Amino acid sequence: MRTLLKFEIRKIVKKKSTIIAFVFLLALQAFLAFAGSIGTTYVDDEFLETHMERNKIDRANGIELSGRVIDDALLSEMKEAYAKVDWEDNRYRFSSAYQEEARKYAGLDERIRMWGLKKALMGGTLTENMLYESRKADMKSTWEYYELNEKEQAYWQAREAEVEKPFTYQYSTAYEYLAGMHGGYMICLIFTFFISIAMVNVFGEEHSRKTDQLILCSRYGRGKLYAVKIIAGSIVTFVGNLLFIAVTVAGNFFSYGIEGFQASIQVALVNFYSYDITVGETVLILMALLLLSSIMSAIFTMVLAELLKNSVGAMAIVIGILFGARMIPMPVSWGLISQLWNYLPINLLKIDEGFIDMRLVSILGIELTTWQFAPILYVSVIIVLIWIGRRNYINYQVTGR
Amino acid sequence: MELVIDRLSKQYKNKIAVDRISLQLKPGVYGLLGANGAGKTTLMRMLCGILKPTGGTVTLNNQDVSTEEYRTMLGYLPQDFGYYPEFSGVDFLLYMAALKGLEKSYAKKKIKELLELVSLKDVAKKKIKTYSGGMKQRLGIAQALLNDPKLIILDEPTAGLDPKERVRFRNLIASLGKDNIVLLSTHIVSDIEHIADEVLMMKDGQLIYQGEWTEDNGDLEKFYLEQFGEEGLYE
Repeated sequence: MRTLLKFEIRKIVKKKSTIIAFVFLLALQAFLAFAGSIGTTYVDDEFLETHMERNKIDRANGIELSGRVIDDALLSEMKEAYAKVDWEDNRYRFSSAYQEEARKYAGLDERIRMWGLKKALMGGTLTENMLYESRKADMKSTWEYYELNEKEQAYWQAREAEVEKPFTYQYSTAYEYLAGMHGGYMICLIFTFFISIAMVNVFGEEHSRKTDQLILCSRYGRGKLYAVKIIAGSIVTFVGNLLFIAVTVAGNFFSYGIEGFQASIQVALVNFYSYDITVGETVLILMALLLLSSIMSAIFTMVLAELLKNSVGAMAIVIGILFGARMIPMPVSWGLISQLWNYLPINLLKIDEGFIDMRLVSILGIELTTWQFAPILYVSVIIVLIWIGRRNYINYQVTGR
Repeated sequence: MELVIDRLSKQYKNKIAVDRISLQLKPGVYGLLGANGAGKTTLMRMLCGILKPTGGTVTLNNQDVSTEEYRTMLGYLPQDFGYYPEFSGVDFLLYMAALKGLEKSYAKKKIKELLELVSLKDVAKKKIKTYSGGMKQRLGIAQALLNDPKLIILDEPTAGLDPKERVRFRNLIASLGKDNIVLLSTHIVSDIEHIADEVLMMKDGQLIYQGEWTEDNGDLEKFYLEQFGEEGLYE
C-alpha cells in the first residue's frame, strides 16, 4: 500500500503542469503575503517613508497602545492628540504633531473608522458611549439582515453576554490580514486553481492514457487503488496548502510582527460579532477550515473527473463554481439556499461573509455557528463524494477505443 | 488449472459483439484469430474483468472473473495502451508490481529478471518517453508477466516488435504455455501457426473454429482468409 501511495503521489507531483501551476501560484501568494513590506509612501511627490519603516513605526506604536481599555479616558487622550493636527493640510503626515502625538493611535483610529465613527472622531465628539451604542446598532441591523429567529437571537444574546466589555485594544495587524484578505480567502481562491489543474488527472489521466486497462485488471486495481488515489490527492493537497499557509503566515509576520493573537475578534475584525473569540483563534479556525475545504475540493475535483471521464470539463466546472460563488449574489431572503451558498469554501472563508453568517444550524438540540457546522458538513460531503466516486470507479467498463 | 468460459456474451444496443462463447481451456497456447470487429478484443476484455459481460460466466480454477483472486492469477497486455512518461521503465514495473500486490523485495528480483528477458536492462532507468514503440511493447510484455500469471492474455503482443524480437517472443510464449494458459490474438497468422497449440477463430462474435492446427489441415492463412471471404485477395 505504501509503495502504491508513493507512486500515486509521484504521478501527481511529477507532472509538468502541476509543477508549473504550483510554483507560479505559490510565487503569487508569496508576493501578496510580503506585499505589505514592499513599496514607498510619497505625499505631494515628497518621500515620507518606506512601507517597511511604516510597519515598524505602526507596530511599535501599536504594541505600546496594547492593553489599553477602549474607554472615555483613552478616547480623550486620542482626541487631544488629534486636535493638534491640521488634518486639512494634505501634508499633515510630515508634521511632528501627527508623527509624535496622533500617530500613536493609528491602530485604534483604524478600528473606529471600521465602526463607522470617523466623523465623530475627527470632529472631536466621539465618546465611549457612542462607540458601544454604534456597535449595538450594527448588531441589531446584522440580526435583521440575517432574519434571525427568536431562538437564534437568544443564542447570540447569550454569546454577547460572554464578550468582555469595554474592549481592550491589542495590536494585531498580522492576524487581521491573515483572517482577512491575505489569509484563508485568498489562499482558497488561488489554491483552487492548483487543485483544478493537479487533481483532474488523478483518475482522468488513466483514461486518457488508456492505462485504466492495466490497472483495473490488476489485483488492487478495482478496490484499494481507488482509496490510494483519493489519499494521494488529499496528501498532495494538504501539504501544498500547508506550504501556501506557511508562506502567507511568514509574509505577514515578517511585515507586521507576531503580536496580537489574544486580540478580540470584535476589536480586530468584526465589531458586531457576538462570540468570545480571539483573532488568533479565528485565524487558526480559518486555516483549519481552509485545509479541510481544500481536501473536499480536491476530492470533488478527482471524483468529478472520474464521473465525466473528462479532465477539461471537470476543471471548467471547479473554476466555474469558484467564480460563480463569488459573483452570483444570493440574497438572505432565499433562506436555506443562501445559507448553503455561504458554506461554499470561498464564501465561508471570507471573514466578513460566510464566516460570520449568524444563522445557526441545530443538531440534536445543539446550536452551531457556520464555522462550527462547516467541518461536519465538509466531512459529510467528503464521505458522500468518496462513495459516489467509488461506485463509479469500481463499475467502470473499458469499452470502445 | 482450467479457464471455463460459459455462454459468454456481450451485446451493445443492437450489436452482438460476443455471442454465447463457451470454452474450457487447459494450460497451453491458444491463438485467437479474427478480422477487425470480430469480437476478439471484447472477448479478451471480458476475460480480464475490465468489461462486464451481458451474459455468461468466466472462472479460473473456480474463481469468478470479478474476484481479486482471479486478478491475482491474471497477466494482461492490451492492444493499445499508454505509459506514464515521467516514469522510468523500472519505476513503471515497480508500480505495476505494487498494483499486483507483490512484495517489494520479490518485485525487485522479478523485475531484474524480466528486464533481462525483454532486453530492456540497459535502458531500465531511462524515462519511458524516450523509449521506441518496440521498447514500450516489450515493457508491456514484462508487466504482464510480473506476477507469474496462470492466465496470460495478450492482445496483439508482437505488434511493433522487429523480426528478431518477434522470434524471441514467440519462444517465450511457447515456454509460458507449458504451465499456463496463454491466449493471444494477432493478425499475423504465422505467429499462431508457429506457437499455438490450438487455434480459435472468431467471426461476428461467434467462435467459428476451435481446435489444433497441424500440417494435415493445410495452410492456416489460406483457411483464415477463406473464412473471411478474402480468398481472391489471397490468391
